Amino acid sequence: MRPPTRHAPLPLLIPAGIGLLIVAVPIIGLLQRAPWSSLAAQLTNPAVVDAIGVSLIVSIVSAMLCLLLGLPLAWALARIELRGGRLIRAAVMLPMVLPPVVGGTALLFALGRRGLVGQWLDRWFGITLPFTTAGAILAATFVALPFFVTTVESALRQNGTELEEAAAVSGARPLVAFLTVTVPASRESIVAGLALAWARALGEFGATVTFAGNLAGRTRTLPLQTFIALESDPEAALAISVLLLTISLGVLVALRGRWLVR
Amino acid sequence: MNQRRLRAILALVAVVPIPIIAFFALAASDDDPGRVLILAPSSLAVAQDELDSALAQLGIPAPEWVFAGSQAIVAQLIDGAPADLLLTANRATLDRANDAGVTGATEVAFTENHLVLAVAEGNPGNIAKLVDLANPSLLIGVCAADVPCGQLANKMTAALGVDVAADTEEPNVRSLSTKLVAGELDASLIYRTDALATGVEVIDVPGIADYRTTYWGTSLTGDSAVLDFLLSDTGQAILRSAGFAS
Repeated sequence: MRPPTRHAPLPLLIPAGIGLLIVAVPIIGLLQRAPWSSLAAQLTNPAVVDAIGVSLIVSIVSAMLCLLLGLPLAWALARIELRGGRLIRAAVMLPMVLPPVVGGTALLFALGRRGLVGQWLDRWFGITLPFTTAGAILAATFVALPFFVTTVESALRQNGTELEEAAAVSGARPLVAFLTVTVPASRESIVAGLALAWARALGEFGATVTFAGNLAGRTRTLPLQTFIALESDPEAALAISVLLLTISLGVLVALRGRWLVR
Repeated sequence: MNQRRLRAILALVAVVPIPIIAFFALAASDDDPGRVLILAPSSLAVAQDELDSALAQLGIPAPEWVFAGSQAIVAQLIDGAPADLLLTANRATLDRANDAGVTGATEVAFTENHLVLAVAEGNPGNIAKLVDLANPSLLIGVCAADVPCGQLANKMTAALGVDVAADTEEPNVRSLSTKLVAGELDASLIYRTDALATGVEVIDVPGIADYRTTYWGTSLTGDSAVLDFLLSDTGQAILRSAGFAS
């Protein structure tokens, strides 16, 4: 894979080095200021434990929703030729580039109890999503879903349709072929997509705070706790930051850049 | 030199310096010496326009205002945010800045505020008394305990014997009143000034106005023109008409 490079030109190496520093220096700064000796105490303080619990529930349920909804969506995007397909794909990818706080605002006006859909949820089922853990899960899923869908869709395209067609020829119904042939053939990408979606859901802040509010034990996830702690207890904020950094790094190392190799 | 090479060099010359110059120019130009940079509590935002135009009549250029929860602006100041004047919505947040050694020589109390029980349009939660805030089936919002409006809310509800069943703890009073005005909350404890500015319905609570917070200001540069103006008759009249009390 790697092309041999004997002579790297300096005009390329210098900006490359500065680019690396822009990413690396803040992380080094964080690690250097982290309260290592009291890290365990900081991370077991009740407020942080609450936030870890909320974060785990929100991110895991959100990743499962990404699998449940994102897998069929990725399949549909990869296999169904539709007029306006590009537009649909762009809409699905939008949360990747949309400021999360805009996503949260959109969720509030769509699914809040005075919102387009939310008023009917409230009237018919008595469901109000804002200020609930379900609302935080929805906000996290909104931002995480495209990460899962892009990863899996590109794998489905790359794998092609031969296996599915062969299954169809031998009499398998489309749904059976999807479950027994397509899914196993793409399992690596599905796992990679899940890990990315989970990491993104875990780090979600803007959409959550806008749509789901901020309450300990219900919607206050680790990033929200970090934000609060930064204004009152910077040491605690640093400790949580180290935890989140470790998890994010762990996900990337576990994927070994698999997401990037297409 | 062939044409393709010339074009590549021209492109490089055009592209390379632009981000570098832009970055350093923008890093250096963040201080406008003619304008006072004020870190101010969110609740004061309702009076900004009036204060700006009154200052303009005195020949003082409109200040640059940064509004956030007092705890947030104090944290920014401690972390080195540039500012000429610090205004906070209570004494505790000012003390935090004092402890970090970032305040000016003199501190003045320039106004007061108190909370009201505000309800969403049409009062969907049928809220009639402060004790209704203890009802877990209603959607109730307060400021977080670290924000001056949250500290005041905790003090006031504890004194009046109400255990608030909050559904969200917002980082500043503006985000709290926004959610109330949007109808996503049934009720919240916001400042009287925010209730006046947004026109939300307020439920009368006997004794609620006895629990007040005092606003403090300190000049970080020694220039006290804006602070003096806030204490002047004109400044005080503007604050009073916005619902602050002195």
